[in-house]
Formats: sequence, C-alpha cells, structure tokens
Amino acid sequence: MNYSCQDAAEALAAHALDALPAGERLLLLEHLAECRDHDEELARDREVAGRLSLSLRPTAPPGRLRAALLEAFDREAALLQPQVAPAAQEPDALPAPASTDAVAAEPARQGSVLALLRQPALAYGIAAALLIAVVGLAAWNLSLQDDARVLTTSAAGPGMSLRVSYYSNQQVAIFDLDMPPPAAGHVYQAWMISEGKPVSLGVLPSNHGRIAFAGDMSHAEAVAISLEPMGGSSQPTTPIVEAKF
Amino acid sequence: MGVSKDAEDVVQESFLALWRQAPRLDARRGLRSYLMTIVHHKAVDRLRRQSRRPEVVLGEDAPLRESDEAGPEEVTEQALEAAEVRAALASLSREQQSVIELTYFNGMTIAEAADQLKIPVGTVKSRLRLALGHLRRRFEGAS
Repeated sequence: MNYSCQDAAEALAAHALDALPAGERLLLLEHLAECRDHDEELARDREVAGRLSLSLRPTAPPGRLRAALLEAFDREAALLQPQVAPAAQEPDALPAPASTDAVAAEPARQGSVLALLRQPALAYGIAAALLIAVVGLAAWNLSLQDDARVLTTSAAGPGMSLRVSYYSNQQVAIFDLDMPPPAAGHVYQAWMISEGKPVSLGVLPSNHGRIAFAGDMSHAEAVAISLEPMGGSSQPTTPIVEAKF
Repeated sequence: MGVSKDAEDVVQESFLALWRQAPRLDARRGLRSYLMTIVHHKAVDRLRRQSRRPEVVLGEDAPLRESDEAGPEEVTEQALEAAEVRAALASLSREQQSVIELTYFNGMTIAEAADQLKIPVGTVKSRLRLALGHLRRRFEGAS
C-alpha cells in the first residue's frame, strides 16, 4: 500500500495525539523514515499535544516514586560505564568492535551475547536450517537521516533474511523477515536481548513479511529469533537468529 | 490512568526514556511538553494493551472547565499555564473538543472515535488537525 505525503500530512495530528491505529502508525513511521517534509509539522503538533496534559488536575506523586527514579537512573548510569574487557576471544568469535563512542560499553554486552551463542542447543542441527549469524558493527546500518530515530540491523543467509528497524522516538520495532516455514508443531519467537538476558517479544504470526512490536527497546543489545514448540517458550530453547544493534 | 501502580510505572518508564534520549533531544522543544508526550504515549499504550479506558469525561466537573479549582491559595505558574490550556481547549468548536476528548483524553484510536461519533475516520483526522492548528495559534498568540 502506497502511503503518500498527503496521507502522512492528514495523519500527523492523530499521530501526535497517539490516536492512530497500529497499522496506520507503522505506515506513517515508514513514510517519516524516508520523507523529512513533515518534521516541522510533527514537531509543532507534538509540542501542542504535550501541553494538553497540563489541563488536568495534577496529583502529588508518592515519595517512593522519586527514590525509585533515582535508583533507576543510577542503574542505567552504571550500565553505561565502560567495563573491563573480557578474556581473549576464540578465533571464530565475534569481531572486535570498532572504537566509537556508540560502543564504548560494548565489551560487557558482547560477553553476554557470546554466552548466549555458546548455549548447548546451538550445537544441534535443525532441518529448517535456522540462520545463525551475528551481525557485527560493520553491518549495523545507522540511519543517516536521523540517528535518534531509526536503528537498524540485519542478518542474511541461505534462504532467509532478517532486518530489524527500531524507531526510538516511537518505540516501535519492525521485523522484516523471510524465514523457511517452521517445522511441524513449532513456531518462531522473537526476543530482545537486554543486559544479557532474553526478553520475549512474542510468537511470530508468520515466517515472512513485516511484523511490528511496540515497546522500549532502547536498552536492547540485540534481537533474536528462535524456534519453539507451539505456543512459545519462556526462554529460548533452540538455535537462534541473532542480530546485534 | 485510574490505577496508582500503573501510573507510577508509566511515570518511571517515561522519565527513564527521557533520560536515555536526553543527549538527542531537540533543544527547541520544551522539556516538559516533551516529557508529557512520552507519558501520554506510554499511558495510552499500556491502557490499550490492557483493553482499559481512562475515565475522563468532559462535563461540568471535568478538568476542562475553567476556574473549577481556583481558590484562595496562591496561583502558581503551573496553575496559570493549566488555566491557559483549559481556556484554549474551551475555545475549540464542540466537534473539535469531542475528537480531542475521545482520542487524547480517553485514549481512543481515530477508528474508535469515528465509530462513537458516527462520522468517517477522515473527518476525525481532519478535526484533529484543525484542532491542533487552532490550539497552536492560540498558544503562540499567548506567548
């Protein structure tokens, strides 16, 4: 479906008010990622929308909320501190990260990703030939339009491909995937890897096409897809497709 | 949001999101309005996932009525700004107020609002667009 500039212009106000249905919201986000003509208008709409809450009667927050916030900030700050580099990597391990500000805290995260990759389940072969690929920084496609808006990563292999775009301002991740049909009695499940731990995003309704997940993934180190028994699992149990942000 | 724990969670998530995005914030935007945008988005998202609706109804006792809480206490800058926003909302046409009420304050999508008002979705979009334009000119005129 083509989503024109006219369509986008008509939807901006509703979008600023969080009133777009999920499907149209995705279409608009994709359009905005490619077209910058609406930036000023959207910014103005958001400015107005942000003031509407001020009309409501304020509620005094409980004292514990401030303490909880400060503790959360401290945890966030601690995670961003550079960590001691892990022990020497195996020859076929992840490539060394480029020395950019964006990956100043990468060693600890890389260690977590390596630990996942070394799970025993990864040694098993699966008839569906799941792709096992870790995309290093060389494949990390940071959008040149606005580095605060879209983070992308991708992985590809024989007969399958995965591309994930995370719209940070909107907190929506779009999975573009093309995977072989899952084995009978199994489904694909998407995960976010945060602080070295997998967090389920949900069972994928399809093995190909575009699927969106809403949520805060700004702290995700990677995204992954695993093959699970029908209904999904609380933890990944099979070899995973993984793409690192 | 009507449920204290949910509201606290949303506030905490919003502040964290703001904190993480701080280095990339557009300096031209007001920080408070930016935070409110985040809070509203997270609140609506949580409510929709839980299939709940906030209970905000425009009426005589509704927050949009001017001077409903003016009292002898000292009027702070925040109270003045709240009054300004309420006055601006009251200056909208009834049709524009309705769509703002249903979508922004009650968390409905444009499709749900259209269904409730028995009007096309395009009309809801159009009224929202006109409403925000009117409010923006009103705020700019006041500043």
